[in-house]
Amino acid sequence: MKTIQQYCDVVDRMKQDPACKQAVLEKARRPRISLTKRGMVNGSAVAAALIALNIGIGGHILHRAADDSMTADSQTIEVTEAVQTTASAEITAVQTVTTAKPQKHSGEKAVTVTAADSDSETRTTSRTETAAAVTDQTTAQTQPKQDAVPPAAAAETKSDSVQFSLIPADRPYEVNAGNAAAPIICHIKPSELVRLKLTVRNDPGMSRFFVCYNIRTFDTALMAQVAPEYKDMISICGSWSGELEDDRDISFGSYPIDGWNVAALPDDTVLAETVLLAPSKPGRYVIQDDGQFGHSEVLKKDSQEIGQQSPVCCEVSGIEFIVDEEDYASAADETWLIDPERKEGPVCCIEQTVAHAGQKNIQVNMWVRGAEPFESGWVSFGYDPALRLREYDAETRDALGLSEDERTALDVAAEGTLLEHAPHLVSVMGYPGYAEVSFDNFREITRNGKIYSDQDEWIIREDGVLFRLCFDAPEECGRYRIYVRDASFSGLPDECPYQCARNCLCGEIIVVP
Amino acid sequence: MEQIYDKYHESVYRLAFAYCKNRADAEDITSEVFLKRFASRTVFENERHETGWMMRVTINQAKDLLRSFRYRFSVPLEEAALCFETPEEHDVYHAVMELPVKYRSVIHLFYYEGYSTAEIAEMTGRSETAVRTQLHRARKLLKEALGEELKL
Repeated sequence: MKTIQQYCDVVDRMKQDPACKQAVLEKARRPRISLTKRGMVNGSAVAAALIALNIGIGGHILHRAADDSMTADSQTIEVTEAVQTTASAEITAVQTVTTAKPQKHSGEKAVTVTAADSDSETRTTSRTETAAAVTDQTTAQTQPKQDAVPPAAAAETKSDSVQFSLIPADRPYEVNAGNAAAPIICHIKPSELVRLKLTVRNDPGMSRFFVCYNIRTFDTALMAQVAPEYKDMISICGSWSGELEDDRDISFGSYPIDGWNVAALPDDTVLAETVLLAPSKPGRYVIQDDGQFGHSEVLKKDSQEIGQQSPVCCEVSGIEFIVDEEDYASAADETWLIDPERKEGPVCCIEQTVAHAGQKNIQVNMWVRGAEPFESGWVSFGYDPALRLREYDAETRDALGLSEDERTALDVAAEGTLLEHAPHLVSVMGYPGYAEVSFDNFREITRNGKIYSDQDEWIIREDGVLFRLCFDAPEECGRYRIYVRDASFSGLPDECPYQCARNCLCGEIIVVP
Repeated sequence: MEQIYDKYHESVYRLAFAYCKNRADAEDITSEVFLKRFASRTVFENERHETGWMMRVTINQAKDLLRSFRYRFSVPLEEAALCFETPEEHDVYHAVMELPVKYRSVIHLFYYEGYSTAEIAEMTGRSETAVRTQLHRARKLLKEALGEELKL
């Protein structure tokens, strides 16, 4: 017999080292040195400070409280960070970070939004061997349009640092000279899907790498995949899988266990690709190195001996997007296939429809096709926050505790032919721009679990409309995307295993005058 | 200070372990949480308020750690820190620890600490519906891993 109580029993036996108590109390009685900067401390800050001082690192240690802000006026502050200090007193990275004043784009009429704007911290960081590479950013200008120019080369960076760049895979771009954080600039349309490649230059023979981009200003990352050559060597984390966290970042890193047993890569090698959904509003948006949480780093092989590796400087170049105005009345009739080459597993499709500005109750069907019979599942979908999902209420939209009347109201928001006779819809929840619908084959929720239905007549065995989503259109004309971010379906254990839908057709509501 | 430490250290340490899966980091997190607690000037209205504060700081501290490079790509479970009396305990514990962190933290807080979904929502900064959904998915994943014989 297996019970969750057994987990509790194991936890109950877990004991902390008694020596810790004395150490903590002693530390607490001493004056405290804080290295905390925007939540980046891992492990003991006191230990980190002592170790950093003992090993004689040059530069200055900034003592900052967690909520201290570094303003845009602090042009070149050298910060030595002791990052990732553990109890075993291992410093995994000590980096010199140059903080530079962000570039101002004068004469813009469009709304300017940067990644830093979102948290009122107008700071741009770039890791370089010296501060010189990024200190002169006040005269940045946009150079003539160039196609397929490696951004690192375009920015005329002469550093020997390993350079990671995000460049558009399917469109031209321009040089954004002088902006080390985002050395290329690209024009896109509102709500357009953009495919970006992660490339590398000046590879010294890496043994491990990790780069992290902040994509907070974009609505979401829809998909990311590793280049086929490096399958099983690179891991990608990001916000495309329906996370509810506020952090919008996407990171690429080698698996440390297997190592990165690849010879030095030629310049402009493509390591991975990602697809992002552009914001719906015109303006300027920057995707750049996540200086807050990313800790981008590269380790280099120093010798053939196992375990010999050392940190090397890396530059992580981002990209600036200019989202232009668009004439929506003449918008082309199109749908966009996220991953057309994948043929396995179920496909989720969201219909495209045209509506008038301000129109209410626009119905958009979400189809599933090609799935094995399933009895439960969940679908998370994103939509342009300008759209309003009918009957949506982030606080109360959980069907678990809803009355029959409320359940009826819920069904208005999500109903479909496949589920029309199924009283098993669990919940619709989310926040503006994001929602999840889950359903299951059970009759009742209890404090300790749920009681499953023993009837299987409603198991979904055919293609069809899974949900019918109802939106209100905004007053502004535009192209408003609706897309599946993640979907999974489960069948009866002896009939069909867990299925994950990665093939998704984006839908949209084109709002015309 | 000692009384506060004695009162909360087990809960803090065990929650930290549920996040980071190894003793050294759990102890680091525990130390950091208590240093914050002792440095804090927060006036707690009651014990529940203080407990919630401790749990929330532990979660935030653990999340900072999980954001680091090491934890994004490698999270080994330190078996030496654990004591199993039956094979079933081993299976159940491992199944919980194999869950994605957001699910196993909810399982720990709900089943081990006995918090309600509303309290967990407050601690983790999520909506209650999100917590309930995550609890639902966590149970489902556990059942998939351990089979229908698992009693929740």
